[in-house]
Order: sequence, then C-alpha cells, then structure tokens
Amino acid sequence: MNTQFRKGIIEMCILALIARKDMYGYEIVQNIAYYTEINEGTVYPILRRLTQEEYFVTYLKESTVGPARKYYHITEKGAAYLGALKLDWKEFSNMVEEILRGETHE
Amino acid sequence: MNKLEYLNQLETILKKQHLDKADIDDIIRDYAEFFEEGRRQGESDQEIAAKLGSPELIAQQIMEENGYKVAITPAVPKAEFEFKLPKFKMPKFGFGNKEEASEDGNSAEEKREKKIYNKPESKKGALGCLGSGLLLLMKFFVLLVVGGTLAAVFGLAAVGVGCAFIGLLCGFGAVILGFFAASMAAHFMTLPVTVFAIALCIALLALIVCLGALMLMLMGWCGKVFLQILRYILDWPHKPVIVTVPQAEMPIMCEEAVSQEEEGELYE
Repeated sequence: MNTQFRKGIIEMCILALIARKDMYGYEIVQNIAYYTEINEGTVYPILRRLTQEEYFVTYLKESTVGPARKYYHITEKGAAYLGALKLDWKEFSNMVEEILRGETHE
Repeated sequence: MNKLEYLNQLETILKKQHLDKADIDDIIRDYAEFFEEGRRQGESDQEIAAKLGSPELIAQQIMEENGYKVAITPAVPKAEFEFKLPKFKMPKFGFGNKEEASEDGNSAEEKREKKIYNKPESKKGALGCLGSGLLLLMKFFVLLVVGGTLAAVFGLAAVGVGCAFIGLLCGFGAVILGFFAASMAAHFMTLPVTVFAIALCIALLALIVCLGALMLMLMGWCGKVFLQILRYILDWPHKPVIVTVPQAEMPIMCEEAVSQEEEGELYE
C-alpha cells in the first residue's frame, strides 16, 4: 500500500484509539500492531507531530512497574480533527465500496 | 544492537539534523520508554530494535513529519558516540554502568516533568529543557564537590606521606646530631649520657614515623567515608524520591474492547 496513504490511515487510527482513552506509546503501538503489520518505530514520529499540532497533550504518569510512562490525551482540537477525518474516510470508503460492488451511475 | 547502542545511534543522527536539544531528549526518552516496555514484555533489546527499524529510518521519519525531505546516511562511525559517555559515568568509583547513567537523567527529568500535568507539549518541552539544564548544573556542582573533596583528601594524604618522610629525615638527623652531642658530652660526663641521647633520638624518630603513619591511615579512612557519602549523593536519582499513589496496571492490549467496537465507530 502507498506509504503516504497508509500513514494517513494510521494517523486516523491513532487519533481514534486515544479518543477512547488516554494511552502511552507502547500501548498504542501494540494496539495498532494487533490489527496490521506496522513498522513500530513510525508511530512515535506521528504521535510527536500530532502533539505538536495540538491534537494531543501529554503527561507523565509514574508506573508501579518501571519508569514513568508518557500518556497521550486527545484535545478538543484533536477530537474535531478526528471527526473531520472520519467523515472523509466514510465518504471515501463508501465511494470505493460502491465502485467495487460494480454499481454505476448512469 | 542493545538499547543503549540504539539510542546513542539515534541521538547521534538526530544531532546532525539541527533539532533542538530538548526535542532530541524528548525523542530519546520516548524510545527509551518503548525499550523498557518491551523488556517488561520479555522481549530482548535485539527484538525491540528490529521491530523499531533502523535508527536512520526513525530519524528520517521524524524529519519527514517535521516537514523536511531528507535522506539520512546510514553510516554512523561508532567511535563518535562512544567517546561522550565517560564524562558522565566516572568509572573509577563504579557509579552504575553506562546505561544507568543515561537513565539517571531521564528519570530525574521525568520527575520534574510529572508536575506539569496536562500542559501543551511545547511548554512542557521548554520546562523539561530547563529541568534537564538544572539537573546538569546540579551534577556539575556535585562533580565539583567530588573533585574538590578528592583533591583535598589526596592532598592531605600527600601531607601525611610528607610528614612521615620528614619525620624519618629528622629522626636520622637527630640520631647523628645526638651522636655528636653525646660524644661532646662524653668529654664532660660519663658513658650513660651517650646511651641516653641515642635512646632519646630513636624514640623521637619512632614517634614521628608513627605520627606520619597514623596521619596516612586517617586520610585513607576519611577518603573512604567521603567517597561513600558522595556516592550516595550521586546515586540519589535511583532512589524513589516521588511516591505516587499506586494504580492498577494498564493492560497493554485491550483486544476485545478495541476490536469490533472501534471498527464499527470508524466505518459507521
């Protein structure tokens, strides 16, 4: 799959995961890796950019089993962005599905 | 490639990309955390590194996300990053291994950053930078104290050695002088005075030598105690300074919850 396209989808998935609950990096990576082959190193750069764009805020939380974990929390801006992405995605996937089903518009 | 090698290599590459020090530290922190989580899941450093992909790839990705199009050259001369470490770890006194030394910085920084709950990344970055700066400054001062104290201890020890030698010289001088004095005195007095003078000189010599040796021992002991205290001070970031409310462990995977529900949300 085209990397740019794939990256866009991964970005949406990351937003969707964190929208449900605050997560730390490894947790996010594992969640995505559960569904699809992913280069695990590429998630952090995306997380970084989304944080820089103020879609996430981060906070450190002490862990009982090891060093502190950096948790990501979605902002209102991030939630709005995710909403827009979801709409786009739905529109796009509907279009693709229609074409794949062989429906045509005369 | 183990965790330390991986992170060092990544840091070396990132430094060439003109990123802020605070940004680089933050990135390294993230990947250090990833390694730690992986280790906790029983993965070896090699497995984790393989999953992450090469440090060059990560750096390239980061630069691309920052809006740069760059090709990162894979060649990283090893010598370059192996040189920097001895500055921090002071091998002579066995302050943990290299890895612990680098994690020191991280954990202390984390403790600082922890106070800045829910603040935007940029602010936290600046404060984190301030924190690490402060920490560095603190370590610098601690090292100054260590260096100063060590110099003092060794200086005093040297004084001790010096005393002992001077004591020896003085003793010999005194013995010779005692002979002269005794032989001169022998003209006026009887033999026992010579014997008395020699005995006195030997006693004096022994006294001075003993004093020097005592001083040396004292210095050695003082040095040991100082080292222990300083080692304790330098090791403090390892100790749990901040006690947090224990919380339930977060599950790494929330398979059931995520799987169908999330898909439904996405597609519908």
